[in-house]
Order: sequence, then C-alpha cells, then structure tokens
Amino acid sequence: MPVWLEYEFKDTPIHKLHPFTKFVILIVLSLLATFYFDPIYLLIIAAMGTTMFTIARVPKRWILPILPIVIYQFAQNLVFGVAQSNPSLYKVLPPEIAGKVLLSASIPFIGDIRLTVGGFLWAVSATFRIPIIILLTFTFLYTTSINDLIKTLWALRVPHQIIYIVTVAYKFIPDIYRAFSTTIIAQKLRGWNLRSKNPIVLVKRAAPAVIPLTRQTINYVDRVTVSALIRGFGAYSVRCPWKIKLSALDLTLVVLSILHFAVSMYFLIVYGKGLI
Amino acid sequence: MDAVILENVTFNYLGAKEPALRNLNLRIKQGEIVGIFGPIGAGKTSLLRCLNGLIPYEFPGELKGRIIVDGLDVREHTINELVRHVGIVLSDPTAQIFSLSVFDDVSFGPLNMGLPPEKIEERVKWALKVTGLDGLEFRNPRELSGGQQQRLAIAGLLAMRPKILALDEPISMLDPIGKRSVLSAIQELRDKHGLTCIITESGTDLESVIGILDRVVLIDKGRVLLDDSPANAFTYNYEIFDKIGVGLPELVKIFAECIKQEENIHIPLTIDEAAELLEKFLEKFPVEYYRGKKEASKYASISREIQDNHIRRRPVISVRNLTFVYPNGVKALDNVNLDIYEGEMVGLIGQNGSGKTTLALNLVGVLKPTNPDAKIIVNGIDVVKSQVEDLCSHINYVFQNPDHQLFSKNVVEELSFGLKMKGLATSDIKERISEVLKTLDLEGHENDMIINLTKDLKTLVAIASLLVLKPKVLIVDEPTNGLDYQGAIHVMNVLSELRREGHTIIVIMHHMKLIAKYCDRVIVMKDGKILLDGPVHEVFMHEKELEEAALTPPPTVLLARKIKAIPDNVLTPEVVIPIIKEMMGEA
Repeated sequence: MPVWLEYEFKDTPIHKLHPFTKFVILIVLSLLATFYFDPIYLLIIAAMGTTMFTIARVPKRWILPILPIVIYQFAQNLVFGVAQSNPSLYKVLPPEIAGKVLLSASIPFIGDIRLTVGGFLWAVSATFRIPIIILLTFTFLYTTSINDLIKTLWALRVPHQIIYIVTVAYKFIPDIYRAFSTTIIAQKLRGWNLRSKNPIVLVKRAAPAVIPLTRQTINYVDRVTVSALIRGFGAYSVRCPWKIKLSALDLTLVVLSILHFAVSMYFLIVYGKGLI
Repeated sequence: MDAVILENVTFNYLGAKEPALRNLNLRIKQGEIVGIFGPIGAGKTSLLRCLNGLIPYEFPGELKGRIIVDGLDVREHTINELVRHVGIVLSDPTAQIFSLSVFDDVSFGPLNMGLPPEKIEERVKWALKVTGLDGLEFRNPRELSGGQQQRLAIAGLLAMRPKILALDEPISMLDPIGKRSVLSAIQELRDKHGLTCIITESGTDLESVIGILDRVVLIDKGRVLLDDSPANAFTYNYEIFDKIGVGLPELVKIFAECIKQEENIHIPLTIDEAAELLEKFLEKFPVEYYRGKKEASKYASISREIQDNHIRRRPVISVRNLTFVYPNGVKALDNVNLDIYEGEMVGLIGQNGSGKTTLALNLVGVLKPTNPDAKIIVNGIDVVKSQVEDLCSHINYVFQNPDHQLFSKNVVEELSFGLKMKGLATSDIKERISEVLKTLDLEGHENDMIINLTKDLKTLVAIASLLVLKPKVLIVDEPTNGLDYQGAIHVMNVLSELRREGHTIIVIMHHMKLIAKYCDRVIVMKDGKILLDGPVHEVFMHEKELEEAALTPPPTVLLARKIKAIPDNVLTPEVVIPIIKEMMGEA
C-alpha cells in the first residue's frame, strides 16, 4: 500500500497533467501564498489548492501529520504578532482597526503586551500559508511519478547532482516512513510508549524509535547510493533526450498560471492588493 | 575467453583487522554460470564488489592484485565505465527499484546513459521480454511478487546491456516459485544471450541454485577452497561444505551418507536423476520393505498424534471470520478461520502479499479487523478489544529485520527494556533476563555490543527481548533471512527448544526445508485465504495447491514420492537415511 508522500497512479485530471505544468502551478500559488497577507486572498489560494487536492484524490490522512505543525506555528506566530502591534506597519488596514487591541497583558520584566487586530491578522496569514503550501506540495508529490519528474528536470537542464538529490528524496521519504512505522510497531510490542509529562523522560523514551531509525537511515542512504551507482546514475554526460511537450490543456494552464502570477504581483506591488 | 580474471587479489576494508579477500585467484569464462558459495562473511559480496569497481572506489581499503573484467583492468576504470560491463544485482530487490512503474524502473539505467528515447524503449522492451515481465510495464513494482521484483531488478541492469551479471544471493528472499523463475531467467540469459553469470549463495538455497551452475567456487575467510563442477564438488568434496557451515543439498546428504560408501557413483543433483539412481540401488536389497510403502503407516502415526493432541489441547489462538481491508481497498484477509493449539510449531507460508504478515499483525493486535463480527481470542483474551501493550505478554511478533527493534548498547540493556517499561523490580528483571539468556543459549553474550553481533545472534537477541515478556505465543517473521545454513539451523533449533518448553511458535518463512525439519503443522495462505492447513507431510502432498501458492515441497519429499520403497510421508534426510540404511542392513 502506498504510504505518506508516495506517488500513486490514479486516473485523475491532475495526474494527467505534465509535471512541468504542475510545477508551474505549485510555484505560482506557493509564491502568491508567501506574498499575500490578506486572509481573504489566502482563502482564495487555499480554495484553489484544496480543489486540486480533492480532484487528485490525495488521501485525506496525509493532512493529519501537518496539523500539529500548524497549531505550533499559530502559537508561535501569535507571539510574533504581538510584536506587530504598531498600526503604521500596515499598508491597507486603517490604523484605527489595525491598532485595535484584542488582548492585553502585563508580564514581569517584559512589561505590557498587546495583541492588536493587525497583529492577529498577521499571525493568521503567516500560519495559513503553511498548510496551503503543504497541500499544494502533497498534491504535486502524489500525482507526479519520479521518472516524469526526472525527465522534466533534465529537459529544464537542471544539473544531474540536483536531479540525483530529488531522485533519492522521492524514494527515501516513503521508504523511511515505512521503516519508521515498523520500528514504532516493533517497540510498541515491547510495551513501549511515549507518554510522559516530563520532557527529559520524553526525550529518553524516544530513543527506542530514534536510534533504530537513525541506523536504518544511514544504511538506507548507503544502499541507495550503491544502487544508484550500479544503475549508472551520473555516469555519463547525459545528452538530454527529452523535450518538454505540453498538451493544449497544459499549455493553457501554464500560460494562465504565469498571467495570474504577473497580474497578481502587479496589483500587489502597485495597489497593495493582498496586503494588510 | 575469460570474462573475469582475479589474480592474487587481497582486499582489506579501511579500518578492518582482517582482509575480506586473501590472495584470491579465479578465472571465469565468458558464458559460464558460476556459483560462489560460502558462509556469511566468507568474502562473497566483497568479491562481487571488486568486479564493478565498488571496491575500492565506493568501499575504500587496500586492494592488491589484478582484476580484469571484460578485458578492462578495474583499477584503471571508474565505476561509471564499469557498470556498462558488469551489472550487480543485490539480494534485496526493493533496494534497487527506484521508480513506481515497471517500465520507468527498467528505463532508469538507459536514461542515465543518455540514450535517445526510442533506443531506451527498445532496450526496456527487450529486458522485460527476456526476464518474462512483458505485459507488466505499467504495474507498480510494489504490487509484484518477490520473484517478479528480483526479475525487475535484473531487467533494470540488463537494459544497460552488461556482459557480466553478478547476483548477490538473488533468491534468498523469494518463495520457491519465485526462486525458480529468477533462476530460469538467469539460465535463459546465458543460453540465449551468452551472458556470464556469477551467483553467490550462503547455504539455505543450495539445492535451488546448483541445478543451473557450470561451476562451484567455495570460499571461506576470503580464500578459494574449491573450484570444480557441481557434480565433482559434491561427489568428492561434499564434507567441506558442511564443515564451513554452508550445509549440503538434501539429495547430496542422502546419497553421501547411504550410497557413496557402497558404490563409486557421481552424486546426483536433480530429483529425477536421484530417483532413478536410488531406485536402481535399492533393487539390490530385496527385503520386506521393498513391497510397496508398507512402513508408511509407521510415519503416518505422527499425523494422528498431532490430531490427537488437538483434541486433548485447548486452542491458544482462535480466529473466526477475520477480514482485513487496507485503506486503499486491498482485501488482505478474507474470512479467515483458524485454531492454533498450545505447544505447536506452525509454519505460515505463502507468496509475498498472500496475507501472512497482515494475519500476524491482526493476531498481535497491531491491526484490527475491518469486519465487526470478527473474533480473535489469544490465550483467553479478546484481541479485537485489547490494546497492543496489554497483549504483548500473551502473544508477540518478531520482525524480519532485527534492526527495526534493537537500539541499546548491549544485550542486557536490550533485554531489560521491555521489562522496565512494564515497571518490574530490578531483581525480577535480572532473574527473567538470566532465564531467557539460558534458554536461548546466549549466556556469555550479556555485555556484547549489539552493533558487533552477527546476524543470527541479533535475531536471537530480538527474540529474547520479547521472550522476557513471557508471551505464550511467539510469531517469528522470516527468522532465517540473511543467514547462512549454520546460522539458520542455530536460530531454528532455539525456536524448537522454546516450543519444547511450552511456547506456541508460528514461523513465517519461505524455506520449505526448514519448515519440513522443524514444524509440525503448516498453514498455506493465498490471496488472504487459508488454502491448506494440516500436518506438514499432509500439506506437502497437495502439490497442485502448493504450486498455486507459489510453493514446492522440499527435495526429500519429492524424492520419496518417486521411490517405491520410501514412505510418502517422510520429510527430511534425517528420516530417509535411517530407512535406507535399515533396508541395506536387513539385506
């Protein structure tokens, strides 16, 4: 059974797109998600990402591991949001709204702190872009086979060292995930559990999973390196045998994505659309 | 013309105390299939690594002597140049498979060679055809059987058109039919395409491999001990195989012990040859035995004894209506019903993907049945409603690779981990550990570093680390994988001892010889269902069903079936040899 972050062929429109098209869409939407601060604009990007994610039939359980990251990031961004309480930092929000205090507290040694509407919106948007980019990346990984990707990278004249890293990463993540799951089960069968409120005990208790996994990762990298060598990876100065051949749909989507990016950036830079 | 020449080759891995290869001399002719036999650590893999420059370029160390491969001096060419001439297939096919479709994976090598697309396609089609994988181009390699995966690994190298194919224990992880399909593909490559093939083997698959070999090279401690045709090697020098721990093929063992002393014959290496010779030989002894299979009833009593025991004993595992479907819709278990009795040693066999591991993981509570009416009772406990941690003292599972499990510095620390998690007192922990060390014959290894243990000891430590929790039932997944014959026998003897002490043992494995030797019952799985279940000799009678499950009985069983004087239900040379000797004595 395919595991987390592993490509699986399915007959979906996203799977059928050329990797180059998917790559362009991924980059355009990820960049826009990075530049936008207005949660409404981010919602639009999120809707686009979620639609692609759904059409591609990416397993829903893939999202679960990112939830703790999002929660942690939101908590962290709220702390940083406190530092964004100055209304003059905001280009679009009227100062009276941006500076409106939502929460205030007095902390010894630090003094008074305030979370303003501006700071809160900043924290929300800084957090929101993470799941959007992850969602888009997952869709790309789930729908793009490694060989299609390699052919595209070659066609784009990417150096073979970089292609090698991509190749190994593509193989490495699902395989190590499998090894990790097996190790966790093996240790659970010995009565292992990670439950403890004491962080030192928690770190100590992680050893039965971390040590075998580290050892296996090192062995794995060795084995994959040898396997790649015996399959002639990087052996020859590769005359790129592939050209990117895009279908009409691919071409349209690439052009639309680039146009979308150009127009969005124009409005963002000139009129501050997407900023707060 | 010689395809491979090794002259006075000595190699010492960087930092190693002893050389892996010592003054080794070997010549292999073009188009030969040569078997390199030797126990674990004999230097077989190092020898293969020398052929395509992995030694000394990827595995540094001191290399002396001359290595010529396909006319090229290995020292004067890089790995990148040598891979066009020599393809190396590793024992674990999954390590070599990069892509997610068969076609893509085979094209990986030619792609790296920078060939034009039409040339790549031509090579891929050819490689898939000669390895019998045509028609599977768009399948995900993970969905293939073990044999098909290994053939895919071979196809991936063939597409690079090497002249020499070196295969490092290529069939060790495969089921019997998988072994046969890989070996016949190798033979065809030599016969039709003139490829030189070198196959290493450490003992458990000797009989499968010898049938296709032109020559046997026996090595130990980095030295060549024997270099001869298989027939000569096993006729005149069979003792040495046993002596260094590689073991003997079953047919060789039978002929060497019974007939070799009587007659100066070449020891046969195939079942048909052996049957013909043995039949002729036994004609000289017109004793009572030689009137059909009269004595079979004597051995059939074993089966009755097992059935009687089932009536007397209570089932320690009881499974009813077990179905399991993975989230992607694959039905791995389909309405499995099963009783396993106290003190049984059960072999769980079947092709890769037949549902063995899924069944085991359901038994230990790691996976839960997907149908609500399923019942799994182990030692009186309802597994479906229990947590893994509550079950581990009743039933436990040893994974195939001990490295998934072992993490401590030394053996004692490893064994104490589970007990500490259970919150046992130090004195109890010490007591249990010393008990288990004694049972598993691990006394004296208490303070050995885990990292320095040999594979068989690691397997035993992994078993010990669960045994301290005193489970009534122990499921052991492929305990002999990666071991030589001696190591495999050591591990199986320990499991057998545990059974004698009252544990119920379920062994998942592909080695029919070991199943026949150690198990008293065997369960054959296919497509998530139980195909056959019964005493080993009875299950081995169902050749057709076994074939369906990609299995074949071991050579002794097949030989016994062809000889009138030998009961059908014998399983091992240890039983056949006294029967033949008795006949000879009575005459």
